[in-house]
Amino acid sequence: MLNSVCFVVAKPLGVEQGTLGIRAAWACHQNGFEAKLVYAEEGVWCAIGNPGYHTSLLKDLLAEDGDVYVVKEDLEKRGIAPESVPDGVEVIPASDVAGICEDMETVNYF
Amino acid sequence: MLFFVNKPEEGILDRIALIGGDEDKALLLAGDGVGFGAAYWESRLEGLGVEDIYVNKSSLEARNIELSDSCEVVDYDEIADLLLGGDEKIVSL
Amino acid sequence: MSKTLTIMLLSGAAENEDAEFATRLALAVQDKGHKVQMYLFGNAVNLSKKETPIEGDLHIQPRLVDHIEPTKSFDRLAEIIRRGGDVSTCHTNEHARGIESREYVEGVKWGDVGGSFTKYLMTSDALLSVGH
Repeated sequence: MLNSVCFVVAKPLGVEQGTLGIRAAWACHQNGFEAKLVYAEEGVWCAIGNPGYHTSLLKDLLAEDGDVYVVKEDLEKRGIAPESVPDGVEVIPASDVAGICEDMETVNYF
Repeated sequence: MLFFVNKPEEGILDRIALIGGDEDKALLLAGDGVGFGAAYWESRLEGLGVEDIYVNKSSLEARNIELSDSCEVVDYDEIADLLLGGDEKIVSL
Repeated sequence: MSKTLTIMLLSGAAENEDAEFATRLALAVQDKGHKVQMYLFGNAVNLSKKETPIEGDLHIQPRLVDHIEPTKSFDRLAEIIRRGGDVSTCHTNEHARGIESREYVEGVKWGDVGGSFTKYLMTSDALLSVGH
């Protein structure tokens, strides 16, 4: 049995896979898996409190103590201020991502 | 840590560094990802700590690519062994 | 010892080689005595539906038909199930494509990420996501 899963959302807001990534993270979290969600590359556009489904599900995940991270350098490259990220999402340097993934049994990009 | 790579974009190398950190790494290349098996990428992959590179045989046969000496060509049943034979963490990029 | 691989497939049949790779890999895993579970997510839900054959001239060059046919993956998916593989879809993604009411390939199960996929994880030794 796999007990822990990390999902990395790297697609921008308009691409379906970003939504699939957060849905997978939410589903795993709700079903008792240790699930971590990381926004990286163009995926950081999904983590800035946009209107719509993605942010609403993100808020649900955060309200249920989900672990959510966004890569600081990927925000900076796109001129996005860290303050744009909703409360509860942890802004982390890229160098911390490996440590987050270290304890996860599988890592999957979306 | 076994990285499954099925895409040719150079940014895949950044993902390997981001997720893999200092851990030992192996690559499983399939589809358009087999391009990373060319000699051109060999030193960069070495620099990332990639020790083993497995290349899907049928994906390779569909392309006119010459692999570096560090690659091992594997068919589907060998890929099954790679995925299920050990307890390496699988990272799907 | 028999193990279980879950494949999360995110691509449809024609847009790239993911479906062909995933289904051929699944068959090889079964050949080795292991179990396979496939979760069809995103465009991969298109694989779950029975093909509606065209009658008469296809108006496609034979060499192009030869190029297309191996990617279609419907027959391999049916064979994976016939051999005991467990394959389910994301019905929400079917709904998004307007195909939810269409008939499944024999044995494919209606599913969702919260039920089907997480159930697969509970019995998986390894997870491979195949997508673009």
